[in-house]
Amino acid sequence: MVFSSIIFLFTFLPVMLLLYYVVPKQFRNIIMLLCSLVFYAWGEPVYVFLMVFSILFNYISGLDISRKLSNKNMARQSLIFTIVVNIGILGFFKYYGFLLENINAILPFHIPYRELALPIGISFYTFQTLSYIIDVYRGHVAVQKNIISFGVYVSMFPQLIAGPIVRYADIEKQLRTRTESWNKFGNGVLFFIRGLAKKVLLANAIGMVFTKVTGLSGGEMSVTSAWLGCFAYFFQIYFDFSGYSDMAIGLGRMFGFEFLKNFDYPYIAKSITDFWRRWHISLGTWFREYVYIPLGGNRVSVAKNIRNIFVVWFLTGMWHGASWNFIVWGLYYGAILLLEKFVLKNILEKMPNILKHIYSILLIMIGWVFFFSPDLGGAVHYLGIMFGAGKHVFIDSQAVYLLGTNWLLWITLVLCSTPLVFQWGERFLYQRQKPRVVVGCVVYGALLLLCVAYLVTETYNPFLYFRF
Amino acid sequence: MSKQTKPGKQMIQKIMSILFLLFLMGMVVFNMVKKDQGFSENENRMLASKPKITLSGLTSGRYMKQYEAYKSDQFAGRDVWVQTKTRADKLSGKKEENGVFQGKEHYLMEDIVTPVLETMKENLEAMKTFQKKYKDIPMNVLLVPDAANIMKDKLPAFAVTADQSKQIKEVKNVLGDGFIWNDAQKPLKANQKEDIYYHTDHHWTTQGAYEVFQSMTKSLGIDKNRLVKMKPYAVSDSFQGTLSATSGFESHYQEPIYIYLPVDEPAEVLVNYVEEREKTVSMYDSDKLKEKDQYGMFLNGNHPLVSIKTTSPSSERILVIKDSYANCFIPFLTPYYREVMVVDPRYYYGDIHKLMEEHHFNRVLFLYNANTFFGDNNLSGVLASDSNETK
Repeated sequence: MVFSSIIFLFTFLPVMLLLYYVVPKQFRNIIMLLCSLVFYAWGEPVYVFLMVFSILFNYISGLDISRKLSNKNMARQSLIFTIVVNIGILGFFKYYGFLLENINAILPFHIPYRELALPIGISFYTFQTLSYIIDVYRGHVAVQKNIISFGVYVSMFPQLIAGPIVRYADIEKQLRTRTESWNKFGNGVLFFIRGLAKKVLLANAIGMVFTKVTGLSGGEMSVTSAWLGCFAYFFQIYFDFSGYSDMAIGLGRMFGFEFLKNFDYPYIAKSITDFWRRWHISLGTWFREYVYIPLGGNRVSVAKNIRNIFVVWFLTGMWHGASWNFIVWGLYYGAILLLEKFVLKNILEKMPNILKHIYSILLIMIGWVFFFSPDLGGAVHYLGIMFGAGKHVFIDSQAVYLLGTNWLLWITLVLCSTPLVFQWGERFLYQRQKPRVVVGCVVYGALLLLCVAYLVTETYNPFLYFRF
Repeated sequence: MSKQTKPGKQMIQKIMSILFLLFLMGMVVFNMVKKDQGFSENENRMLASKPKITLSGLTSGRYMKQYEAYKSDQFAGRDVWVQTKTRADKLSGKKEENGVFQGKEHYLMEDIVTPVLETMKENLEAMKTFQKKYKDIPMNVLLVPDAANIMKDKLPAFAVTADQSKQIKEVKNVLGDGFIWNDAQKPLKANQKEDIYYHTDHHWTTQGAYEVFQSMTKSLGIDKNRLVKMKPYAVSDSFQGTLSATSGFESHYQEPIYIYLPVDEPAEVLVNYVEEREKTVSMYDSDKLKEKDQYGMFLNGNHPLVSIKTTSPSSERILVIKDSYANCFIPFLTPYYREVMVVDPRYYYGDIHKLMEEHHFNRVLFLYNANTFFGDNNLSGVLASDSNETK
């Protein structure tokens, strides 16, 4: 089930809210757990059992490790076993096909395999269970003896499907005691509406432009069209992902949970280092905590530091998808980060801000080409068109059309990628003697209604010839 | 979240909490009370009904998808929500939706289709083989361009379409001299200031069809002295076509439908819908005017095989292989042919060669709208049905 759908908004969510707030406080975790399992099962009626297994297995492992903490070796053995099982499951479902594909490319004979469907959210919930297990081992958190609470941590629906990746330490206390209030709920509603609008009104709209450009055959694509297509994806993925994260945070607040923000206006970054402190923050934090620092981070020799950075970025790329272009994407950023750290540091500091922004956006856009292309060859080809390879016209009427008819959308996308809109909005609405309450409610209400109108129309499907 | 929230923000948050909950609960109640609808006039299709729960449906996820479709289709106020969306789109300057352009002067125009080369080659080869097999029978080809091709000046600013004139020319070249080629572009272009295409539908108007007919009477072998004078009569003024349904644009625009009748005595016809085993005495079905798709009143829409016998003084028989564009064109043929047989390859599963043998046609006319022709994948199959084929 996705948040931006009629069934979620008008069937699941109302029922969930009703049940959650009707039962006495001590039963709220059970309700959250049960409803989250239903939410997950709705999209994965079979693999929901895999997630239940993961909850049980990690719960028991947590108890096991905590009992062995006095004996470091035994605890370590259990930890390794648990990590291997978790990663084994993730690896099996996500990377089995990719692995065999590459083995087949090298071997003289062909091992047949069947593509497995990837269970939704497995990358997210596996990283969450790992964060729990490792933190129990390290003694950072107390073991969770209540299986319901643990189950809620792993599976709670706001962050189950697409993050943010919540570290157990950040939410431990909230599993026991959390306060729900009208204020918090309302704050959640505002977050949710903003996220919904980002996804439905902005991401989906510019997504259509992206689809249009990638649908053009090679001969019809001008250089400008290629750039517009890349820009379209640039905005689509940001508003889609950050919109979803906003909805997750908003929903969490509606049930008393507070998650950390996952995006911080990444496109106003002044360097790639800066960009990765603002994009998918929970993933970066996870890799830093559980891979980079254990490997030694930057408190080792320069050579080892470089190795650590490459390992993290190789894994980051792989986490996003089982395909070489994702790995290249990860390593691409790893290389740039290394350059920024060791070589470009002084140059960057002295550059005027506008150049820093252009530098960052250009590199980010190139990165996205690897991300959205079906394979490496496609990525190289597309980049080629963007930078003048082959006989592609610089600008044609198709490009002018894509730019012209969507002029309002493009401007909105640019403005909403900066903090300007939000800051101006807050100033306009609240920071005055007489806050504009009515205007604020009307704006948020209108956004919500508009999003619902778009969602309903998604299934508008007129049949043109007479009915059978 | 530990900063002190400004009082204004707190107010808005509290009010929005209540409004949000009211809205959700309100829609839930609304949906519970509302009865499920069957057929949607606006969308011209059956709306999804409540799916049954089955074990296989649950484990495969099919039940969930059906349930979601059911909830969406039956959502309270669905038509109002859709209208809101299209109005918002228009405000933001959107001029294209679902492959339909919002043009100037309230014209809606379908985007030009790019042919799938493989299938088009097959269709054209099949036509050539067909013509060679019956080389004594003259075969006319009338490929009618779409509004976006003829009325380019009415397209929205910057709009880009494929070059349909080029596509049509290529078809003419490939088909070659075996066929009598009829150019629809010239008469349509000459009359483009008139209402030759519907504003809200992808079909040409009866007037457009008549202009083209008049330009090709000679190539159809019709003696100009025997030409029957015809006059237009409006049979509807509330037509809302398929393009406005698809795109949501011009949802309030209504336009007239005309039929042309001979000024003097009309030729009487007997229309036989062969497969449905129904016979009528009119080529127009006025019942269809009560439905949403009023264009269907011409020849009662599309049927696999229609046989029209007339009281025309002529003894000629013509076979028309067509799509829905021909439906308003065929009444112009009836004064000049004793029999007009109409085949729609999208629905026809019979043997066209048997038809050719049994009826001894004097002429064959291929009448297609360019977009439909370039998207068609039925014609070659129908033309190729050979007596050698084992069924």
